[in-house]
Amino acid sequence: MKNSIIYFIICVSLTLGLFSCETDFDNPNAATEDQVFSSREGIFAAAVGLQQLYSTTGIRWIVETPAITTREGGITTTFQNMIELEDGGTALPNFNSNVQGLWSTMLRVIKIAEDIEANAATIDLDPGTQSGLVAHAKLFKALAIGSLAQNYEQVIVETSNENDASFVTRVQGFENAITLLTEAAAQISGTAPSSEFINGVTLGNIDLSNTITAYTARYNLFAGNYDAAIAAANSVDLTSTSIFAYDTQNQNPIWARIIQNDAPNFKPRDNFGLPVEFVFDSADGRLAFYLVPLDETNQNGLPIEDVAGFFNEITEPIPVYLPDEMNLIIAEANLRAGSPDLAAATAALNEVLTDTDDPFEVNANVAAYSGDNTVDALLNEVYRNRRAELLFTGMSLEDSRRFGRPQPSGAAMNFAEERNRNFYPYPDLERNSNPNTPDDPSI
Amino acid sequence: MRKLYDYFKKTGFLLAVCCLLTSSSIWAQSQYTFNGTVTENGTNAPLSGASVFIDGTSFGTISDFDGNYSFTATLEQGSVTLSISSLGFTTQEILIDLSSQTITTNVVLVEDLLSLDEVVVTGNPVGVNKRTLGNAISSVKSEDLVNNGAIAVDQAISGKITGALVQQNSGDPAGGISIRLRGPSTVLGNSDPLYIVDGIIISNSSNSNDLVDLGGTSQNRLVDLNPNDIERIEIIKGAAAAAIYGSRASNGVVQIFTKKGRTGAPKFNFSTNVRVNELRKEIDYNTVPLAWVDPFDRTNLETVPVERFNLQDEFFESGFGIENFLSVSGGNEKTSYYISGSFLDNEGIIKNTDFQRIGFKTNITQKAWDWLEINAGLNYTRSVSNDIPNGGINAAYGAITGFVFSDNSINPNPDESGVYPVTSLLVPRTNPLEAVDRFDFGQKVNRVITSIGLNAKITDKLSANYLLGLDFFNQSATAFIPINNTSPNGDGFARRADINNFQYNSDLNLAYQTPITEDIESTTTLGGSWQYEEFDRVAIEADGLAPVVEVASDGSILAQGETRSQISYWGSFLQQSFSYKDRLYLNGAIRLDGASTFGEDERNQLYAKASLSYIISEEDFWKNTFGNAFNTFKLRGSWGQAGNLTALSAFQRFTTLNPSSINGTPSLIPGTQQGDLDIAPERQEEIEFGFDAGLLNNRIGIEFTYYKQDVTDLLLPRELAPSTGFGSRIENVGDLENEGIEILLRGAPIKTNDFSWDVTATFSQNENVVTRVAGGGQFALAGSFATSFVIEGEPLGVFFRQFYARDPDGSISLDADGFPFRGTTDDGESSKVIGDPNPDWFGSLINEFAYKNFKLRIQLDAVQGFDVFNWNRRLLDNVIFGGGFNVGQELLGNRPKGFGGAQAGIFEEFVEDGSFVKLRELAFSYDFKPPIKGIENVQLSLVGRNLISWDDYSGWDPEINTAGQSNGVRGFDFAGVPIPRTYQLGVNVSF
Repeated sequence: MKNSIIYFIICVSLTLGLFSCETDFDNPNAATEDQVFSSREGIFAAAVGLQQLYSTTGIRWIVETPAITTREGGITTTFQNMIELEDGGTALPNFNSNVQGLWSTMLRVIKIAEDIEANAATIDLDPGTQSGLVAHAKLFKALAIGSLAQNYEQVIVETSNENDASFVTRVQGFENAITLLTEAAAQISGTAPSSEFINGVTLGNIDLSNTITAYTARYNLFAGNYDAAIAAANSVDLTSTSIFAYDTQNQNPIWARIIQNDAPNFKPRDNFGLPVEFVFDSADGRLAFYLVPLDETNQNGLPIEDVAGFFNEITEPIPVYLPDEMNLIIAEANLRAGSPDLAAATAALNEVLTDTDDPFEVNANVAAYSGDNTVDALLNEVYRNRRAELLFTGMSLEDSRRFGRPQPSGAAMNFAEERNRNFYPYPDLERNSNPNTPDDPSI
Repeated sequence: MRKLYDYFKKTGFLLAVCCLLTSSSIWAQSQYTFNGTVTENGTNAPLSGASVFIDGTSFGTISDFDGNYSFTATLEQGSVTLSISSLGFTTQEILIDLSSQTITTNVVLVEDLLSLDEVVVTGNPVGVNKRTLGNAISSVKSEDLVNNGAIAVDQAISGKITGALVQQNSGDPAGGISIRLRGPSTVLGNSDPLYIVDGIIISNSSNSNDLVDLGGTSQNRLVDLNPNDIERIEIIKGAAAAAIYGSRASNGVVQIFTKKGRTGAPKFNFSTNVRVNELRKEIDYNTVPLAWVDPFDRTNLETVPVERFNLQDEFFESGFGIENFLSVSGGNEKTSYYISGSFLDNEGIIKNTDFQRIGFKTNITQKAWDWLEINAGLNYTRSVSNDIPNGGINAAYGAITGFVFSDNSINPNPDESGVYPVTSLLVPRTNPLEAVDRFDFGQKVNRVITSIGLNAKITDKLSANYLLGLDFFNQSATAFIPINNTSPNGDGFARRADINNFQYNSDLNLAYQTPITEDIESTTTLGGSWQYEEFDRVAIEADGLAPVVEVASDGSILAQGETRSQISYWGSFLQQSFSYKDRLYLNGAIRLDGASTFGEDERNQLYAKASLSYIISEEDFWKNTFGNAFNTFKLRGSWGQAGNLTALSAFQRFTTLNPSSINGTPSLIPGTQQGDLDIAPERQEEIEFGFDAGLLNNRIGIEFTYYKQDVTDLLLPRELAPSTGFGSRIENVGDLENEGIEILLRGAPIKTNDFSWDVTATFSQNENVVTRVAGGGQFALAGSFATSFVIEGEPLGVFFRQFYARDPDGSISLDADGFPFRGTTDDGESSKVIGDPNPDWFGSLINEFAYKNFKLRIQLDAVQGFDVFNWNRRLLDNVIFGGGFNVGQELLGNRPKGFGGAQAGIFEEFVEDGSFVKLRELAFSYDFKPPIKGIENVQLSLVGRNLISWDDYSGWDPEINTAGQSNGVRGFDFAGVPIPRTYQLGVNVSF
C-alpha cells in the first residue's frame, strides 16, 4: 500500500513535469522589433519599409497639405479634413487629419531611421552595405525633419518613447537635417554603398550621393546658409535622376488622391495657383507638362485644372527632387546672399527658363529673363518659376513665406488669400501626451 | 503535438509501472444487499434519481422512477454509513449495522430549498458542503437543462441563476449567447466566464465571425455540448470564489459535470422531440400604395401609385426541428459507464438556415483498487450549420441588411430568366429574397473533448487527484455568393477559412484532511496546473468567380491570411480550511500563476482569497430564540483576487513590424500600435457577503449576496504622442467597478400528496462603471459605427452620439420647416451619452405545479432598464430608402416629408428602451408507466419557449446584439435575426 502511494505520486509528478517546459513562444505572424533590428534580412526589409512609408503615405501628406493651404490645389471633395484645409485661418482644427497625418507620419519615418541607424553597426554586415544603410537612414530622417520644418514653427528631431520629445525651432530643424545629410555624405564617400545595398534597397532608383547633395542645397537655402546652398547645388550632377518608384499595391500617392476611382479629393489650380500678376507664357512647357486645361471651378469658386506631370498614372514614379531646383536654389541664394550676385542669379534662372533637355522633361523652353535687373524683380521671377517647376513637391508653404507673399488674415474661408496659414497648429495627439508641445502659432 | 505523443507514451508506460508495483491487500469480506424506497417528505411521492451510497466506498446506486433502489456490496463486517442525497433535498446519513445479508432501509428526504447540504467542487478541488462556503454558489440540475426548447447549455440556464445575465445575441438556429456573471470585467477582452467540463478547460470561442462574416453574429462553441449529457452545473461569479483558478477566473467559473454511470443493470433513456420555430412578431412596414416622385426634395409632394410588398414574408419562414437522444448507463462494483448518442437538426426562421449536431459521449469510471479510481471521458461532436448572412457591421451583403435598405415598392421576385431585381436603389444592398435563395454560407465543426483522471484515496486523510483534459476542434467556414447578384459583391464572392484550436490542461491536486481537536477540522489542499492552448487559422477570399464554381481558389484572390497563436499557463495553489463544530468555516488560499503572454517581469502573479461562513442557526441561542421561524441562517463573506487574460493575445506584448513589399522587394513597416514588454494581466479584487436563510421549517429559502468588484490594470489602448513614433500602446491603464446584489427566493407554498407548488424567484442588479481611462478619458469601441463608447465615469459601452435640440420644457425643438435638429451641450459638444445597454436589473420567476403525474412549469424572465440602438428603424424610416412604417406616414401626410431623414442624423431618436418580460419557458408534462414490461417510465411533454414578450421595443425583439458576443458593443440591433418562438413536443422513455 505504501509503495503504491509513492509510485502514484511519482507518476503524477512526472507527467506534470513533462509539460512544464515551454513558456516562451516565437511569434510567427509578424516580426518583432528585436528580430528585425538584429538580423541582416530584417534591417534590409526595414530600410525598404522606411522608403516605402515615406514615398507612399509620407508623400501624400507632404504634398497635399501645403498644396491646399497655398492654393496649388483646390479641393473637390466633401471630406472634412480637406474642407478645413481650404477654409484655413485660425479655425483650422488641431485634429485636422492632414495636420496630424503629416506630423505623425514624419515622426514614424524618423523613428524607423533612428532604429536602423542605431542597429546597423551591431549586425555583421559588409562595410559597403552598412554604409549604405546608415546613409540611407540619415537621408530619410533628414527628409522627414525637413518636411516638418517646412510646415511647423517648431519641430521634433529625435523621437522619445516617454512622450517627452523636445522641440527645436524650425531653423534648428533644418540645421539638424543638414548635419544628418553631411554625415550621410561623409559615410558614403568613406565607404561606397555596396551593390548588395543598391540591389536590395534603392534598386538603382535613388542616386544616394546626388540626392544627399541636392537636399543639402535645399535645406541650406531654407536655413539661410546661402554659400553652402550654392556650393551644394553646384555639385549636384544635373543629369542624374532619383525617383520614388511605385507599383499597383503601392500606388503613386498623388494619383491616388486626384485620379483614383474617378473620385478626386483635389485638383491643381489654374496658373499653378498663383495670382494673376504672375503671368506665364502660354508656350511655357511646364503648363502642358503639369496641367490639362479644365474649364471648371471647385466648390469654393477656385478655378481648377486636371493633373498631368508625374501624377496621372497609377505607378508613375515621382522624382525625389527635380534637377532644375538646383538652378533655382543657385539663383535665389545669389540674390539673398550678403552681397547679391545678380548676374549669377540671372544665369541660373535662364537655365530653367530656357531648359529643353530636362531629364524629367520639365522643360519651360521659353525666352531668357528680360525683366528688371533688381533683386526684388529677380526674386519674384524665382518664385514664379519655383511654383511652376516644382508643382506638388511640398515646398509651396515654405516658399510662400520665404518670398514674403501676403500674410493670411486669420479668417477662415477667405479664398482670395494666397495662403491661409503661415504654419500648422500642433496636433492634439502630440499635445495630449507631450508636455513640451509649444503654443500654437497665431496663424 | 510531438510533446503530447511523448507524453502519452510515457504516461502509459508509467501507469503500467504503477500497476505492476502496486499490490492490493485482502480483507475479510462478504456480500450484502441493500434496498428500500426513497420518498419525498410532505407529498410522499417516490423520489427518483436520489443517490444512495455507502460512505467511503463506490458501492451505491440511484433510485428508479418508483423511488426504489437496490444494490449489492462486498464489505467488511461491522457498520457502514448509508448516505442518501438528491439535489434540492437535505442529505441523510444513516448508520447501518451489517447484521444481515439483506438490509432494507426506507428513507424520507426533506426538501432543502437552500441546498445547504449540496456538495460542490467549484472553487474547491475536493468536494465540500455548500454550508462551508463563504461565497454564493449557484447550481443547476439536469432536469432544468432539458425539456425547455433550448439547444445549448447557456441558452438553457437563462433565468435560472442569480447574477448571471444570459443574453442570446441572435435568433439564428445556433445563435451566439453571452453570459456575464456580475457584469463585464474587461474592456478589450471578453467577459465570458471560464468553462470547465469534468475538469477540462474548454474553449467557448466565438471565432466564426473571424472565419466568415455572417454579419456580426457568430456561434459560441458551447453549442457543441448537449444539455442532455449534463448532470449539473455549478457557477461561481467572481474573484472572491474563483481565486484558485487564478489568472483566468475574473469573469467567474462555470463548471459543468456530465452524467456518470451507476452500479446496476443498464438503464436506457431515449428521448425524441419535434419542434417548430416561428417569427414571434412582424414589424410594421410601409403599406401605403404611393411613392414620392422625388424622395430627396422635401418640398416636392407629388406622388405616384405603387404596389407595396411585405418583404418579411420573403425571407422569414417557420423552421422545423428534431432531436433524438439515447443514453445507456450502468456498471458493477468496479466499473461504471455512461454512453450517449444524439442528433439534433434545428431549422432557423430565416429561409435555408439550419443547425445540425451529432454527438457521442462516453464516461467510464474504473475502480482499480480500493484506493484508486480511474475515469475517462470522451465527447465527439460534429456541428454543421447552413447560414444566411444577416446584420451588417462590416459585411453589407446580408439578407436583413438588404431588407432595411429596400424600397418595398419593388417586387423582389426574380424575372423569368431568374434575375433578381435590385430592391435597394440608393446603395448596393442585396435583394433579401436573393440572399436567402442563392447565397450559400456554412460552418462545420469537428470537436473532441476528452480526459483521463485519477482519484486516489491514499490514506484516510490524504487524497489526490490528477486530470489531463484535452479539447480539440477544427472549424471550417465557407461563404459563397454567385456572380451576377444584387449584393455589393456583384461579381461574386467566395471565402474559405479554417481554424484548428487545441488546448489541454494537466492538473494535480492533493488534499489532506485531519481533525485538530475534537471540534476543529483542517483541510489542506495543494494543487498544480499546466495549461496550453494554440490555434492556427487560414483564410482565402476571392471575387470574380466563374459561374457555378464555389471554391475561393477559383476567383481572383482578394485576401489570404494565416495566423498562429500559442499560449501556456502554469500555476500552483495552496488552500487551507478550518471548520469548527459544523458551524464556523474559515478558508484561505493563495495561488501563484504565470502565463506566456505577460511581460517577462510580470510572468508570475500572486492571487489570494479568504472566506468565512458562520451557520448561526446551529447555535443554541439561535435555536432558542428565532429557531422556529428562522430555522436555518448562515452568514457568509469572502474576499479574493483573480486575473483576466482575454484582452491579451499571445504576442500582444511585442512591437511588431508588418510585412509588405514594394517594387518586388520585401519590406517591414512598424505598426502604429507599440507593444509593451511589461504588460500584465488585468486584476480583479472582489468582496462579497450575504446570508442564506431558511424560514418556516425551510418552506421558504432566501439567499442574499452583495458584492463589489474592482478591476484594476485594465488593458486599454493608450494614446501616445506621435513623437514616440507610434500612435498607441496597449497598457494596463484603466479601472472598472461592478457592484450589485443578488437575491434568490425559493418557496414551497403548497405540498400535499397530490399537489405541489414550488416557486423560485431571482433578482440581480449590477452597476458597472469604467472608473479610469488613462490617456484621453474616452474612446469608441471598434465595430460600433463609433457609437458605443468607453468613457471614464460611465458604464461600459454607453451610446455616445448626437441628440435632439430641446425647448426649455424638454420637448423636441423644431426648425421653421417643422424638422427636428441636433442639440449642443453647454460645452458646445455635439455628442453626449444617449443610452446605456447595461440593464438596471434582471430576474426571473419560475412556478412549478405538480398534480399527480402532471407537471406544469412556467418561467418568466425579465431584463429591465437597458437601451437598444435600433439601427433598423434609422434606415427603414428614412424616405430615401422607403420601406419603413413611418415613410408611409409621411406619404399619408401624417408627418412632414423627410422627417425620418432629419431624425437619421440625430442618433438619440433610435435609442429605445429594451426592457422586456418574456414568457421564456412553458412546459407541460405527463409521466406514466405503460403496461409494457421493461419500460420504467414514459414522459410526454409539450414545451413552449419565448412565447410572449412584453416590451415597448419597436423592432422585432429587444433581446439581440448584432455585434455578437462582443464585450463592449451591446444592445446593437442592426439587421440581426430575432429570437424565434419555439413549440416542442417530446417523448422520453426510460427502460
